[in-house]
Amino acid sequence: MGGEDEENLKMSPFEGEHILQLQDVTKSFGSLIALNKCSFALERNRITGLIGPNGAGKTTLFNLITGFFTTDGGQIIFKGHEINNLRPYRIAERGIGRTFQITRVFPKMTLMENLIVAARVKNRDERALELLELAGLIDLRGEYASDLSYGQQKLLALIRVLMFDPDLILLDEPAAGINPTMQNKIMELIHKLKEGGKTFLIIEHDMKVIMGHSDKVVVLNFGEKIAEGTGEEIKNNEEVLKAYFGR
Amino acid sequence: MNRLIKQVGLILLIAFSGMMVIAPLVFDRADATLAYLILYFIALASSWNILSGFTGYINFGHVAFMGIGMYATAISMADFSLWWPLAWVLGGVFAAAYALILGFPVLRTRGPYFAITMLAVAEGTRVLFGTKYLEPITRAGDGIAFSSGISFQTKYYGMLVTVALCVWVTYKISTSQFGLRLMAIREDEEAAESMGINSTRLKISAFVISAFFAGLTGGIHSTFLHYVDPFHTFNLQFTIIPIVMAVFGGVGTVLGPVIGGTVLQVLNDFIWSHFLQLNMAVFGVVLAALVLFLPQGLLEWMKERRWVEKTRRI
Repeated sequence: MGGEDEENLKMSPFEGEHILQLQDVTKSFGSLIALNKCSFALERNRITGLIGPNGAGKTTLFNLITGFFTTDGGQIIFKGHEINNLRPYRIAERGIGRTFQITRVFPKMTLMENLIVAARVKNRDERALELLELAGLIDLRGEYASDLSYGQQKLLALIRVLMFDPDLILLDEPAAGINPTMQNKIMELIHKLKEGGKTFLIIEHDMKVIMGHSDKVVVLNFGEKIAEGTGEEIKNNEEVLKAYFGR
Repeated sequence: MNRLIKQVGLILLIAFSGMMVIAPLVFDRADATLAYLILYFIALASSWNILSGFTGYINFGHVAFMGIGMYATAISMADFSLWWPLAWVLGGVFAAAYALILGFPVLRTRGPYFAITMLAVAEGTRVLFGTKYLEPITRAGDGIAFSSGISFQTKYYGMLVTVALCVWVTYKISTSQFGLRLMAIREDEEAAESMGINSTRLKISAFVISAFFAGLTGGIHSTFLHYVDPFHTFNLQFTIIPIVMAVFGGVGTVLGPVIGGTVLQVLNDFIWSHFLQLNMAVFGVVLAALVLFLPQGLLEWMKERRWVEKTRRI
């Protein structure tokens, strides 16, 4: 991994460009090493895809960045400050938002309540209505979130994150398990938000989705980063093909 | 239909409130005592609801806070001749302080673990007040008999004000960002934390407010009973009955504990006077029926049928 260290050194003069940096992040559960010295950086105002086979450590990485797990080694640096092992709410306060693989809206709260509960902005009602409008959920604002369809819940989870205005948003399979129309709607929303200055790190199983929408892709396998680059580069990377298709 | 229910509900609420205000002036002593006990149970159910109804942390040790309040008032009046309003408030203050100290370790546990831990806390507190080590202060098993020297009416209106305050605070919580965040903890604590919600601080705040009202209720009630001892003061039934009442009316609602406390205490009084042996059995039946048919409570059930607006104000 010597090449990678050089890469990190090269990056350092442009630190301001990197909103999040991971350096040798390690996590194990008993004898299972979920993440082994994982290092990469996220560029501000970009969509980065995070892919890898099942059990590669993608969700573990999310849980480490957002403080749900504590790291066993390495550093996680957000906007120049180390955030390892801070409590989840502290990390959220600093500007990292996330969604979960299994959508976790607040079922017995209305859509409106789901949104304003997270608000840190002054005009929270206006902002909530604006986002509901954007997501096409405005007519359902008084209903309980449990009454929404699965795809609608995913949309709600995504706009809920925006209520506390994080700079970096981590999405765990935002397009999985929903119909193509809803998928397009979600991806459209993500691009709109990117234009508005947000940075995204997206876990996705569907290679097509991630390649078409990401500025950069990071590939994990067995807890290690095996490749990093543009969609084109990743598609032709030997290691990635081996990991995915067993070649 | 909707409008009609709304108006009937409003009229019932006003009539009920009016009746509770004039009760000790127009009712005979037996009925006035029933009215007092209704208020007492509403206060317990409503204060329990502030933590457990909103955050979903089911507190099986609520009686500990009521008991601390009873002892604080009893001791301060019997031994220090404190003026009664101060003695009542002191009950709330001591209970709140107890919750603040307990909250940090106890609220780390979640779900059923919290329920069991609080059950143990209440029992432990009862044992503590009965030990000989604390005998100089608590008189251990002998208990403290004292005379408050205040009239029934004063105690009645003290309890009424406590209920009004507790319901008002619940209303304020229910319609605020603070209350929404407590509910988010109930719905999904991890997701709430991921949005920057400091769940520990919020839970402890709710716990302390809940304990304050339980302690204040206990303080007033001790002057009604003129007597405290560990067995009666920390009796588990004063945890269970308010829980059943709150669940019956609707947990996490403003008026649920008021409805539950009133209906079930009137029912309880009726059974007590007609079929004495069945007294506690009825609560078992009500609890089983609740779990089967009304797990969300009366108000949520009505909200789901759109008989009542889906609003946090009720």
